Parts: sequence; structure tokens; C-alpha cells
Amino acid sequence: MLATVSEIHRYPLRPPGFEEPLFATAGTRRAVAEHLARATWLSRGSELRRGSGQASHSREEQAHVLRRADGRAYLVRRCGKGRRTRKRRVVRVLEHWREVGLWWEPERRVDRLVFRVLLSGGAVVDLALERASGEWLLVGMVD
Amino acid sequence: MRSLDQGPGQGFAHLHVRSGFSYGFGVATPAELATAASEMGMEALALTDRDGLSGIPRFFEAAAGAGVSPVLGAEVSVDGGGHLVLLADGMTGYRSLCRLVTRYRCSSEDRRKPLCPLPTLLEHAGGLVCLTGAVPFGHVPRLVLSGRTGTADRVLRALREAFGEGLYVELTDDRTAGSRRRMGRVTELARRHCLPVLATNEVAYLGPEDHKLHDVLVAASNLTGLPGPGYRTTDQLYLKPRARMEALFGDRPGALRNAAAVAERCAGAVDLGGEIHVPSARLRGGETARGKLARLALLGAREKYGHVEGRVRARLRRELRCIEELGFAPYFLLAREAAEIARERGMPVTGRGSAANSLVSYCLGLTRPEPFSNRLLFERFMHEFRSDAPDIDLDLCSLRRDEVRDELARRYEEYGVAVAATAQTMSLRGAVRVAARALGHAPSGIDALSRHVPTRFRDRERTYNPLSGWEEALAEPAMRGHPLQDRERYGLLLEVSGRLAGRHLQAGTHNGGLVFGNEHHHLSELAPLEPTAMPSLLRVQYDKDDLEYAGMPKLDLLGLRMHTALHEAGVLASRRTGKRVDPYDPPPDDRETYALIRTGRNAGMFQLESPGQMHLSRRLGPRRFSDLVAQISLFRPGPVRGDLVTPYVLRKQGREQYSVPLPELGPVLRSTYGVLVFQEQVLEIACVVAGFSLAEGDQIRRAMTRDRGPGAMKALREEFVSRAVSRGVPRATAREVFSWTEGFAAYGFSAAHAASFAELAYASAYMRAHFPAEYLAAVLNAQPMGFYSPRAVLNEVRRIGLSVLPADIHLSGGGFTEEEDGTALRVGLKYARGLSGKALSSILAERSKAPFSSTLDLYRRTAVGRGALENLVKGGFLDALSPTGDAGGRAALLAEVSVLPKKPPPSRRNQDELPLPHPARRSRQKGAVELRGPGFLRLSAARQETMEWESLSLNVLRHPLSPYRQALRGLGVTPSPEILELPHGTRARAAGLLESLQRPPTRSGRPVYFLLIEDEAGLFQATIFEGVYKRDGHVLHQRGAFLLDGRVEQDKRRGFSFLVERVRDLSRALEAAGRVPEPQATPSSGAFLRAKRRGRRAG
Repeated sequence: MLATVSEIHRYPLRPPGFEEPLFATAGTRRAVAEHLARATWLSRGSELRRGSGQASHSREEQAHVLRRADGRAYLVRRCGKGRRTRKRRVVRVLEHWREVGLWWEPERRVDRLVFRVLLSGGAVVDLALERASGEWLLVGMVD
Repeated sequence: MRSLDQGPGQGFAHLHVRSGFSYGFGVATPAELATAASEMGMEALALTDRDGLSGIPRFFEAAAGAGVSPVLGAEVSVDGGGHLVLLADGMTGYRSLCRLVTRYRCSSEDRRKPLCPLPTLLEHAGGLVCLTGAVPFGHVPRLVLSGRTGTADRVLRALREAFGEGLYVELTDDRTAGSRRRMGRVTELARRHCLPVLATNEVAYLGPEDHKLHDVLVAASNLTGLPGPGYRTTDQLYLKPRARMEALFGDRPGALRNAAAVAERCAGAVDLGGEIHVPSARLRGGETARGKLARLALLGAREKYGHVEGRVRARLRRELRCIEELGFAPYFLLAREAAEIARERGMPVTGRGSAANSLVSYCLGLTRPEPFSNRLLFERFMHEFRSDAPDIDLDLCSLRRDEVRDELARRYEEYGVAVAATAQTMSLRGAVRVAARALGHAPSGIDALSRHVPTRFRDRERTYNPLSGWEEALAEPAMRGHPLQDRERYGLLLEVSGRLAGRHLQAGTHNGGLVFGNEHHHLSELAPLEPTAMPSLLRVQYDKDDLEYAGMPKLDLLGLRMHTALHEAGVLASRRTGKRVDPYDPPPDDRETYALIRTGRNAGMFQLESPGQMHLSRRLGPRRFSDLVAQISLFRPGPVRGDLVTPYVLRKQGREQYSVPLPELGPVLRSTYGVLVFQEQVLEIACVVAGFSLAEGDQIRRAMTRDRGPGAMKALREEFVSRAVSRGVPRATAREVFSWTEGFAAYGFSAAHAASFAELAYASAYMRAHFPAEYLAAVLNAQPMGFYSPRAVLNEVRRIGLSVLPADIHLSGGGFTEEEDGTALRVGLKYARGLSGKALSSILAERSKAPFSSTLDLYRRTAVGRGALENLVKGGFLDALSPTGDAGGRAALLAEVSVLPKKPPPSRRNQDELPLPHPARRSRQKGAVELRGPGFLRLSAARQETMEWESLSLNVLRHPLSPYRQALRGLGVTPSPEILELPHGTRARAAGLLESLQRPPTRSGRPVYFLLIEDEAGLFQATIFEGVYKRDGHVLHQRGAFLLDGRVEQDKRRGFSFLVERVRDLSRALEAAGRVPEPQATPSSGAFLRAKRRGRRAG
């Protein structure tokens, strides 16, 4: 179960030749699932030991985006047990899209603009701008 | 087309657009789309509904109005997944598309989810442009994005071979995660194949806010909750303005330019409005349709008039010439063939509508009113200036109509025959059900949420009970205390359903509206066909009202239950009297028949039985056929709104004098006492005053009845006046006549239609007067029909002095039967709730072999299930088999039934005998059979009638208010006939059971409600104004028996009315005396509210 970050990164995210939508048919769903199941570092949520401290999903996290007068933007977030403040410059917006969905479920409804950005230091993260509240959320760590 | 150097988006048009006619995959109406495109400054717009062209006629009409060039196409679901978009670049493409859609829709396994095999699509590529489908769910993008590039390559090569230069790789960006990457993959494929790319937006709704409706419709059409299959987290599939498309495809300007180029190629290339596709008739060698029609018309004229001379010859010649010039002879022959098929099979058939204006129709046996004596004018039906096809409607016995339709379909198979579709939209109530299901409510919850939500109903011209949204609906008395009043809890449901109301959900079938192909084009080249729920019955995708636009005449074969009833009444009367009684050939001017009509007790009479017509019968006092024609014409929304009834009645009674502006108008208006009742009279007025021909007169009538704009009307007025003046009519008088005619023309009714109905009305009244038992038995057997519930009809049977005999398993027929020499009716088996046709047949067959000895014997020998057997007991059919031999022993019979084993399903019915109940269970129930214990005391009359009500929905024993006579008197209730005689201004109290609540259009436009109740003495109509309705209306919707306090009005002009001041629940008022078995109120088309009728009956 133990694997290094680089091992995880080396593992292809989808079977060769696959492109989104990955789950168009039952056949492609199965192919993707089997591909991921072959990864040594991946576990089923149901197989995780209770109380082991292992996380089975990542949480959305509040973030701040600072824009400076010179046009530069920074992602500011608190992390760690001591809630240290980390600040990273947004080098480039790689991609952006809209997510509108699950509007019929009050707790899970989504209406936001998502930006995939490259941060200084090389991390790629997904930042979402909530349409209703205008808040920024860190919704994913891609790389 | 403007030059391309003005920018990549110049000339851009959306070429992949779904409307509500995609039935579950689109939201906006074609008109909304065309208007929005026009407002965005787009010059063209395509409509590409999923697997069909259903919305095309409306789209073309709307696009013409909005100044947008329409592009015709379809989104074709391809076998193997995904879709391709096909666009027609001319009539060849249109015909290819029609043939293609017909072929794959008719050969798909699941008619609701048709799939087109790719080879079939390739065979029909002529005249079509092909787009490879939207990203990511298009046919080609699916292959590319799932890694099947080899298959994608093969498909693209095959498509290129078939479509050549007309193949484009479609690019769409739904702005979901990865959409740019996916588009990049598809673009790369296009580059490898050297194919042009084309930008679309896969439009499914008008604006981003409509994405919720789209999601709900997709879920509803797949009968699932949200999210439906293929759900995407996007709100971007809307009709984007050009600027947004430019922003989206700024890096691919060629894709936008190609969209503009294809739009230019296809826009306006298909014209459906130019030609009328008259069906071809079957002719013997060498015979022409014109020759055959003339021969048959002359033959018919000789039969009906004994000669073909004078005015008959002249008129036949004129009509035949016009029919020939317009090329409609085969259509008449086709209609005649339908009528002949019906007659050969002993089925009654009559015509309706303006076709009865034609002497040719009359001579062919299509219509019954004699044209000369009824002043019917051919020009009202058709003439040389009319560009639209004539409309012949035939009424047939509703039970056997399909026989005629199927025979015609068989005979004309080579040209193609199909029925018309009906594009069904959701009412507010329907929208609540659809939205609630999508939002995950349980079925019982959906019922509770949708109950009492006001519904609306339409006739051809208008919507009744129109509600513009929830604000109005929730304020309706029907919704007092309704769960949806909790707006916080049901906010989302209210929002979604409110916006869904009026949207398309699915296509229905107009079972009798037949459309035919001809020798030039098979029907599948004129419009796409699709299968219906009935095997071998095909449906044209166009709505019945859109066929005229597409130039496809429709032959309506309508099922009329009055024909079913009249036919059966004739058979029963002939059997009893031993003489042939033909209800369709009653003696004319029968005094007893008119005397009965004048009493106003017309329940069961065709067109004369509504409360309004009953009231009018008493006021008008018809004595001859022309009076009936006028009576039927007068009680219509138009004449009522125009207040034509009162002057007509007063003048007929001699209580009001009238004059006409010109002496020439005297002969035209004499028969209707100076009131312009009939549309035909407008033609005659134009003729006698201004010297117009009758055909020109019809042009004027049509202009007056359809909104042609003030400019057109002014020109028409000037023409009328100048021609009248040239004939010596004073200018002022000519103007007065025109204005007067114009004011009345909008309210007029076709005399031909009224005369056709009056024939049937007279026939039904004759049978009701002379053979009441047979006629009313037939009416009860033809249910559901007419204005009244079977309960009210049966009570009327009792009121006119006939006996109602109880149900009996050995004596009852399948339906109601007359007994005792036409003085009694016996309840039929098919009124027993839950009794299937098969079970009914088995009872009739087995009892002819040997009578039933017990419930167990019946149960063993027949196909009656345990539930139905219980209902037979409750309905009193098995009273003779009970231990007491009468109704008192029903409890014991029910106990016997309760221990019977359930019958196995049909697949396991190979055992010879049913097993007996388990001995232990039998011993437990033994007491029941021995009639011991308080539960098995003799049934009271009240319990007996409650049981019968539950099983039969009829009051067999007595009227349900009979036992409360004393109590009602104690409450101060006056019987309904006595209220009719009370002086003006008297306050009175009435009580009765709900029959219907209507809200007809009024002259003022203010809502007025007419409540029809039934007490022991008869039917009684009360008037409820808005204030009282708002205060007490909830009682009307929630209960079925009422106590009405009100005031009598005896108006010299309008006669009697009872104005309700207070409505109360009768059961509550009678609480001490007992509980009235009251009908349940249910919304109904045609009536705002109606006593609930059971829909399905056995047999």
C-alpha cells in the first residue's frame, strides 16, 4: 500500500487512449475501474482500517486569492496543525471551466467557475470561485 | 451572404438545436427559438430535433414571422452510441431525411428509443449535410474520446464517401472540465482526415436558467429521478449569441465560418408550404378520379332527389368543376370509400363540419343534412380562392371505428397511410407530477402533491381556466390547505413545475386522423412516420394541426359514442317490438319528440343535454328541425359571448320586434329573426348587399374571423362599401351593414355543422321519446359518453318512470338490458368494478350451461378473480346465492369469498380445480357461513346501497338522498323543480350531489361558475359568482354533496337562475341523519370539475 509520490505520479490517470468523458459506457467504466484497481497504491474505501488516520477523500478547503496591482495573483491558504499561512504565486491559468450541477440537492449543489492553475513551486491546483458567495475554494490538487 | 472578412462570427447560425419536440431532450418551443435568434440578429437558425421532424411546421411558420431563414434537420441516434446531425440542403434532402427517419424508427426494437444503423443512414445521404455530432456524446466524438480511433477513422471514411463535401466535424464546448481538451482531440481527428470543422452549441434550451428544466425532462423521459442518463454538470447548452460563440471559438475561426457557410447553403432550401399533396384514389383501369366522382355524385343525386335536373344539376356541375379545378376529387372518393366500408359492415356513419355544405358530399352519402332546405352554401366549404385543403370529418361508431381505419390503411398501403400525431404539453398538474418524480418524491407523495392542482383545458380556439403561474394557482379555492402552500419546503418543486407547465413532454396519437400518400410521393417522403403503441399503426410525426401547413389533407374518422348508443338502441327496440326500428331514419317533425325536447328534461340527448341546452330548450321551444339547428348553434362560446341567444329567443317568442337595415337582408335573416347566427349568412349578405360572389363573401368571412390587421380590414370595408354603393345602397347604410356583419361574424357558427349535429340530436330525442328503456340502456352501455355520469343517467331513468331492477348473476346481461316490455332496466355485469372482459364472457358462457349454485361454484367455473368476485357480491349480483336469498345475506357471501384461495396467475393455471380453503381457516370462518355474530346481521338498506355504490358507482336501490327526505326538509331544503317556480328575489336552499362545475367564457371576461347538482327530483343548475367561489369554492373541490343557500332570479330576458350565496358540505349538515354516499370530485376536460366516473369498464 505504501508508495512514493513520484510512483503515484508516474501511474497514468486513465487507460491508454482514453479521453473524457471516461464513463460513457459500461464497458469504458469497467476499463477505467480495472486500470485504477491495478495501481498498487490505491485502496478501496471499504478496505481502509477504521481509526487508522487514512483519508479516503479530500475536502474542499477555503482559500484566498490576492490580486496585486501589477497583475500578479497569489493563492493564500492556511495549512498544517499550526494553521500556518502559505502563499504561492499563480504563475498561469492552465484551464478553466464551469460546474453547475446537483441543483436538486440543497447540501451538494454546485455553481462555480473552476480554474486549474500552475503555482510557483510547480504545484497544479483547482481553484473554484463560488458564484453565489464569491468565495474561493481549493477543490483539488492535480500535481 | 456578407463577406467573411467582416469577422469569423459573421453569418454564424446555430445548426444543432433541439426544441421541446425532441420530447425530453429539449425545452424551448420552435417559436421561442426563432424569436430569440431574430432578436440576436441571426439570419438563419436550424431545428434539429432528436429522431424526428415533429416541430418543423411550427418552426417554419415561426421563422417566417420572425424573419429568420429556417434550416431543416434532425439529430439521428446512431446504433452503437451517440448521434449525428443531418441538415437538408433542398427538397431532395428533406425527402431523404423523411425516408431515413421513417425507416429506422419503424425498424427499431424499442420505439421510444430508436436507433439508426449506420449503413441505413449512409443509404439516405442524398441532399443532406452531415455533422459528426456534439462533443462528447456525438457518434464520432464518443469513439475518439473512448480510444476507439480506428473505428472513428472507419466511420469518418464511410461518412465522407456518402456525404462527400457535405461532411463536417462538429465542435462544441459545453465548458465542463476537460471540454477544451476533448475538443482538441476531435479537432485533431478532423485534421488527420482533412475534414472541415464546424462550430455549434448543441442547443437544448433558450437560456442558462433553463438547464434545470432540461435535466428534469431528460429524467422524466427516462422514467428516472435526477440525475438522468448522460447528465452533465453544465448550463451552457443554450442559444448563445454570436459574440459568445466568437469568444468560445476565437481560436478556431474556421469552425465559425463553416457554420455560416452551411447555414447559407441550407437556409430556406426546404419549402413545405407550396404544394397540397392530395391523396390518390383507387381507380379501375381508364377511369379518372374526376369521372368517378361525377358518376357517383349523379348516382347519389338520382337516389336522393329522383332526378338530376334544375338547381340540383346546376349546383352539382358548379361543385364538381370547383373540386376538379382544385384537384380534390380523389380526396372525396377516399372519404366515400371510408363511409362505404362502414356501411358494408353495418356501422352507422355521418359527416360533420362544413363538408355538409356540399351537395356532392350529400350525394356521396358523406353528410346527412339536405343542402337546399338548410340553406347550406358550397362556398363556405370550398371555392377557387381557397388555397387550403378541404376537411371532411366522418363520425363512426366509437367501438368499431378502428375497423374502417385499418381497412383503409390496408387498401392504400402502397401509397402509405398513417394517423396524425398530437403534440402534448404539460398542464400545471402534469408538470407537478413530472417534476416531483424527477426530484425523488415517492408515488404516494406525488399523488398528494398533484391532487387539486388546477388544470386547464382547451378547445380549438381557446384555453379555459387559464392560470399564468403558481400565484394564481395557489390562490385557487381548490388548493386551500394544500401541501404546496408550504412554499419554503416545496420551493424548488414550485419553481420547476411552474416553468415546466406548457412545455412538450411526449407525442400522442390522433387515432382517427388519417393521412395518405399519393402516386407521386409515398407518405414517408412527405413526412416522417413512426410506430405507435398499436401494432401496425403508423403515425405521422407532425401534429394534427400542423398537417395543413405541410400541405397534407387529413381525413378524420372520429369515434362517436352516440352512434354506438343509437345503433344499440335500434337493435334493442327492433328486438322488443318485432319491427325494424332505424334510429337514423326517424319520422320528420314528430310532435312527441319536440314536446319532450321542450320540457328541458333532455339527459342523454345528443348536443341537447347540457344544462345550458336544457334551459334553452325550455326558453326556445323548438318545434321543427330548423329550430334545432339554431339551438345547437346558439349555445356555443361565440354566440354566448356575443349575446345572440337573448334577442333570438325574444324575437322567436314575439316579445321583441326587429328590423334589418336593408330589405335585401330580409330573406337572408328571416329564418333567424334578424340575428346573424350562421357563418353562411355572412356570405349571403356580402352577395345581396355588395354583389360579391359567394366565394368572395367567404373571403370576407375568413378575413373577419381571423385577425388580418386593421389595414386589411379597412381595404375590405372600402371594397364592400363601394360595391354596395354602386348597387344603389346608401353609403351610410353600407357602412352600417359592414360593421354589423363584422361584429357578428366572429361569433357565427357553421350551419352545416349545426345541421349535421341536429340530425343526430333529433334521432336521439326521437329514440328517447319512443323507446326510452332501450335508448337509455344503450346510453348506459356506451359510457363514458355525454354530459352526465352513469349514476345521474340511471337516476333519470327512475325519474321518468322506468324501474331499475337489481343486478343478478343469472339475469343481468353484459350491459344494461331492458325488461318487462320496455318498462324496466336491469344492471349489467360490466358495471361491476374490476371485472375483466374475459371474466364477463366466462360468466355468460358458463351460466348458459348451468346456473351457478354458490360463490365457490362461480369462482371455480369462471375466470372471475377473488377481488372481482367480492365486487360482484357487493354489487348484489350474487344475492340469490346467499343463505338468505336476498341482499341481507351479502355479509355471509363476503365471508365465503374471503376464504377462497387466490387464483394463480395465467401462467400457472394448468390445474383442473382450485384447492379448497385450508380446513383450519374454514373452521375459523364457519360462524360466518352460519350467519352468527353481530357482523352477519342482515344488511341495512344504507349499508346495502353503500356497497352497491362502491362496486357499481350507481344508485341501484334508490336515489341516495331518498332516505334523507325528512332531514332535508328539516334543514329547509326546497326540491329543485319547486325552486324553478319561485318568484324573483326569493331566498331558497337547495341540496344535491355534484354532477359538474363549469367555468365557461363570459362576455365580460369575469369568471362565473355553473354548478350542476342532482337531487331526488332532478338536475339543477346554480350560478356562483367569483366572491362566493373564492370563499366557499374549496368545498366544491373537496366534497361531492352540497347544501346551497341562494336567491332566485326570474329575468324576463334570460329566464331563471339561482345565484348561490353560500356553499356548505351536505354530509356535515346531515351528520345526525347519516352519511350520504357522495361522488368524488375530479377535474375533467370539458368541465372544470366533474363527478368522478370510472374510466374502464369490462366487456
